[in-house]
Amino acid sequence: MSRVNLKTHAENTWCPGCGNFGILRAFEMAVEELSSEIPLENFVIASGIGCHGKIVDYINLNSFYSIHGRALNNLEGMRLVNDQLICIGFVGDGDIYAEGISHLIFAAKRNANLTAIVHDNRSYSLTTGQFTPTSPSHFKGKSTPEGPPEDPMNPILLMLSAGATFVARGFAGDIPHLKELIKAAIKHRGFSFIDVLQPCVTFYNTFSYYRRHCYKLEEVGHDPTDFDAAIKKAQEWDYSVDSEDSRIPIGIFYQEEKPIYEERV
Amino acid sequence: MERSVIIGGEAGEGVKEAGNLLSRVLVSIGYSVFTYHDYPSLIRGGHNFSSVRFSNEKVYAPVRKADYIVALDDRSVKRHKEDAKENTVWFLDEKVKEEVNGTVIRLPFREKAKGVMRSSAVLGALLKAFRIPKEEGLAVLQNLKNFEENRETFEFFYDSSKEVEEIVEVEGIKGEYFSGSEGVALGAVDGGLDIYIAYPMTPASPVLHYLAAHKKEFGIKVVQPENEIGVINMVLGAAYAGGRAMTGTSGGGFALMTETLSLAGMSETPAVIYLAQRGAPSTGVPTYTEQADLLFSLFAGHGDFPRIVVAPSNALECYLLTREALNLAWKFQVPVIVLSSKNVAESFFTQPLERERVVEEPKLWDGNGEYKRYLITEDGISPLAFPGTKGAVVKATSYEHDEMGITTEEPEQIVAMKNKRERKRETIRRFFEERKDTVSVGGDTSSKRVLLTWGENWGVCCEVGEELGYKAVKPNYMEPFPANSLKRELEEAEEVIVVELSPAGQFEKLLNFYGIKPTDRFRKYDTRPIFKEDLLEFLSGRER
Repeated sequence: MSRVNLKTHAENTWCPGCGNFGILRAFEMAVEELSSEIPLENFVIASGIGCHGKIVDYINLNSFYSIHGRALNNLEGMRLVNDQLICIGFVGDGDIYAEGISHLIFAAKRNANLTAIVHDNRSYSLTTGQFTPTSPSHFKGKSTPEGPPEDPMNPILLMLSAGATFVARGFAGDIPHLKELIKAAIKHRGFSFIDVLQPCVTFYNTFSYYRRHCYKLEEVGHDPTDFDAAIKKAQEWDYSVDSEDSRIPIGIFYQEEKPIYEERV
Repeated sequence: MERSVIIGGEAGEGVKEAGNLLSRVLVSIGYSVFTYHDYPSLIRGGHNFSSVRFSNEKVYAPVRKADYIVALDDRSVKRHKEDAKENTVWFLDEKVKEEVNGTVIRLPFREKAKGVMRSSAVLGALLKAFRIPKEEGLAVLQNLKNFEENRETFEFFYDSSKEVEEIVEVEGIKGEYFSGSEGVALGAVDGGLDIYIAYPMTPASPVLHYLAAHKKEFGIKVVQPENEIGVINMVLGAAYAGGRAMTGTSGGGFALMTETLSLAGMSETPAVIYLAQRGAPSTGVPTYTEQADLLFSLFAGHGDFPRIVVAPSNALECYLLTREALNLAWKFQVPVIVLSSKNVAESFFTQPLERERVVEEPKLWDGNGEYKRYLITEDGISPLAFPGTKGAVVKATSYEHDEMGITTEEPEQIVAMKNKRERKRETIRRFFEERKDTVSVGGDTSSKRVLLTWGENWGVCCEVGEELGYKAVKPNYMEPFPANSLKRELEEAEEVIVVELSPAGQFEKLLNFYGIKPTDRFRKYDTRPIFKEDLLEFLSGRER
């Protein structure tokens, strides 16, 4: 396979050691491997606003650098006029779980054939550290010095109940595993969702915690066609808990085939 | 020869349908018809009425007084007594208790016809009164779903009603009978529409409904997303991928879209937004009319970016300007707003409609060299390419950017890109400056007294202008504003009276901004359209 050059002239401005590098690398590798079956010109990537959003500047593919929370709708619009496009949305946890939550739920409900990769660093970092919908209640951010007066949401559970047909969790510190998840998500026909645990080295460095506590669903015999089992696995880890006996499942929680939005419109 | 008919009753008993059926018969025998539908924001009950005005000369505006009033209930009688003339003929449901003066024809509308079927009953009663042959009515009813049932009802009331006067067939076909909403929908289709994406909102929804009902015939997609923010972002996505996309909404929905309007401006993504004004602010008066979103449409969105705002004043202009809006959006890669209001959107006009598909090819990438989405050009317009094109990487963005579409914070690059967009603004200005059709003139065109208006008031200003000796003038585009053309039309004017539907005088403010100083003003803001009598009375009052 010939190596594809996905670099642009943009200077990378993420903090050294940022979890986003892992997602970028895993995605580049996934595209490279998929490029034998998908022409590069058919890829479109989109992003919201936040540290994660910069990723589209760093990848030499068609891109739509959207505004905060709205990237998935842009991709849905594209797919409605050209169903040959392979659409991947890079979105943030503040971006899509707060500002764009309605759009996320509806993209899942419609089973739009696109992939949403959430850079879930559980902190608004580009705005210098406020709590997000997945920050634990003990997250001491600049807007909530005592921690947020509310508990985090569980995006895996949310997506399962919203009707997403591919629901996964990845870890930016495990690039080969994340690459496989991204490839599977892109190949899935329907709405694919990956919540990627992405440590923010400046405002919420969770690298070593995730390394100690993540385990792979495929290694424990989880059946991703079993919805009830998926719900149980989704509930295994509470985003508010970072105790030493936590176990954090990563991998594919659930996958099913359903008619896609574009063919039903 | 001119007559007007008011049909009043509850919502859900076919009032609007009766008005439209009657209008279609009248149009088919050569009349020009203007039909105003008045309805409150509810589904059953309340009071709806339709006012059908017809003449052998062209009519474009509503009138208050009616020669015929059909009242299906007491509330309709009470409500419309003030609209009766000395010799108005009343058609009352048998159960109506209210007393009226003049000729009364009592018929068992509610007993013999159920719900919407009463529209055929009212049609039968009126056609008999007008001595219009049954066949003319049946020809129009034939298009209805349950024709047989409607025919029986129609014939029963035709036979039970009484002749009043003969409305004879008149020379010449005056045109098609269609609403502003239908004009917008057909204009969009003939401007190359691929997909209509909208969230329901009165008074823009009829466009959504019309396109959804005919999507297969038109070969388009019609979708209803989760909210107006989702809507406008899908519109931009579709356009980025090469599809001609459009949405429609009213003030509140447009407010939600403004963040993305700015994105359209920055990313230079074509988008067409049909904005049908209602009584405002906020939820306001949803099913009635106003022109108080004018300045909002011109200034909505953060930051500087060029836009185009077109302002149709009747159904034919809705067709022509919407068709043009799609081409303008793609020619200049800007958001284009089609700004109408309830009395244009939901009123029906009789105008010649010659449909023609007009889809201009935008400036496209020639395929040579490296593709730059934001190539710096003399006219400010960068060639388009779409994802899926071999050899092109198409990078659109909300951030300030370089020619490739990569984020920049460098002062020189920022200025270069801002200058490019401003040159595009100038290209658009010059494009319109050279045209002769940016302003309309009507009424008594030789008069030195001018009624200066815009949008839905155009018809009433022309008609009243002709009767009282006023020249009527209006801009057809609000941005770029045809100030020079307007000034030329006002050069000889001794009086300039601004006519608009806004308590704060938004149109007058805009005129002032361009150095046009009116001498007087007529502002109406009870959210009802300007009835012909309103303007006649105002102007006669000034002459005394």
